[in-house]
Amino acid sequence: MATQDLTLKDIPEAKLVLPYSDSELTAGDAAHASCCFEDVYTEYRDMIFHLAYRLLGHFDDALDLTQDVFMTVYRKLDTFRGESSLKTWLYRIVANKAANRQRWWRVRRRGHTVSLHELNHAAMIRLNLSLSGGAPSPEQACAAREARKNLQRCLDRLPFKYRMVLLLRDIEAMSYEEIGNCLGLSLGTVKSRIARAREQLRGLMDSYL
Amino acid sequence: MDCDNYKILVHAYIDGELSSADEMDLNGHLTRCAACRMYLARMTEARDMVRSLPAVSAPAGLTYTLNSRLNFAPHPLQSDWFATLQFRLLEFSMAEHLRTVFLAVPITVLFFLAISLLVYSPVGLENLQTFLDDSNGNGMAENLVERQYLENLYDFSPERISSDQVYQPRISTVSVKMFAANDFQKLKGNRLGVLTHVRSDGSAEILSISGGDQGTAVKVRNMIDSSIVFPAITKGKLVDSRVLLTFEKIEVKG
Repeated sequence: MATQDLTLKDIPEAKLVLPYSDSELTAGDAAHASCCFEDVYTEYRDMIFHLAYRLLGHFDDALDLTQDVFMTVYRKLDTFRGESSLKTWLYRIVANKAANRQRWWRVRRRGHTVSLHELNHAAMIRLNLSLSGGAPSPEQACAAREARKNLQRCLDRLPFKYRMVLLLRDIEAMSYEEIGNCLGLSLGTVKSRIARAREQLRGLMDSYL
Repeated sequence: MDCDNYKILVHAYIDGELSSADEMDLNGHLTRCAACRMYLARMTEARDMVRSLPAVSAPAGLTYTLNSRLNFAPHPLQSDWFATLQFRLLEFSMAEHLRTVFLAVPITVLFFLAISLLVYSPVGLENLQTFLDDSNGNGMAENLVERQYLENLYDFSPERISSDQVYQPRISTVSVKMFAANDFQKLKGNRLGVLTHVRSDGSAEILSISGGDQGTAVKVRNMIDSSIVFPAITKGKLVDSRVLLTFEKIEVKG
């Protein structure tokens, strides 16, 4: 049946349409020609969305944040001088924007609401797993899903500064030095924050799992 | 080093950020300390669980919405300040800046409240009136000095008028108000307005009298002309050294 081939990737992917072409934006400026917006978007959108999702713990918020980040990148790409790596620069924008969002109490009260989009997304993943044949049994899948959900809850309960360093280290596999550059922290601060973050996370996980 | 110091090293060890010297040192400690071995196991487990979180790809909707937002964005290199401002207003995310808005609103309200309290309180109104009256060029400070001088010079009050005077009129209610000359025309009712010019020696020259009945006006004119009584200046201000006195109730005896 045709429906059996349905995967998330079958949702038609839109093509990025820039009002001004990258060649137009970088014309006459050789320093910026190396990083054009379209390439940055293609290469980093999944990484940024993933980081945003793990940071905020909410699908819609992560989507908003990713858009905001790329809007900033679009406006500021000409100011990127290549002093730090592009990845560090991008993650710095993510960190700043996520911190702004995080300060607002709305995020803390998000536990009461469930996004419809998120439900659809979860349903699609479940459908995908069950249709792909080699999926674990429903009980196993359910348990794994529950464990992931609990882990995300534990992450959400970590203070933002700890969550940020932990995710940059464990999800994005950035070195301590890169994390320090990205967040403007000293190496010692990065070390101690990662230690505290893991300890707190471990404590929370003990209480949840 | 004690265990607390080694615990920091444990995380660097897990993350592969430890120098070889520190690693040897830590390994030596771990063989001796069971608590730190347990700590290492627990922290490694925590790291592995975070790493096991599946990657979430950006949904297709991201490109759709980004396309629509980019359409409104001004040219990043050629946009003028107005286009940028327009775009920022369009893009202003209330949710993201709500904290700022929530701080700005009470601060603004408090500011206007403070201003209105200053202006509309009794003292504020008086100050405002003084300010408006003074706006024709007369310095307030100068008027205050002059007023103080007159008060010292003519410390008249009904009680202070000596009883041995032959002619002893008395103004039973001393309610002296001074207005700008323009207000003089607006007096109504039973009140009597006397516009005087204060001479440098302190005596008053009547410029005009309005309000009240003719008889009372004549009596008051006689009183002031004969310099027998000059009401104490209790409140008000001088305008071009013209003083408008209003008598709420006048009782002349003698």
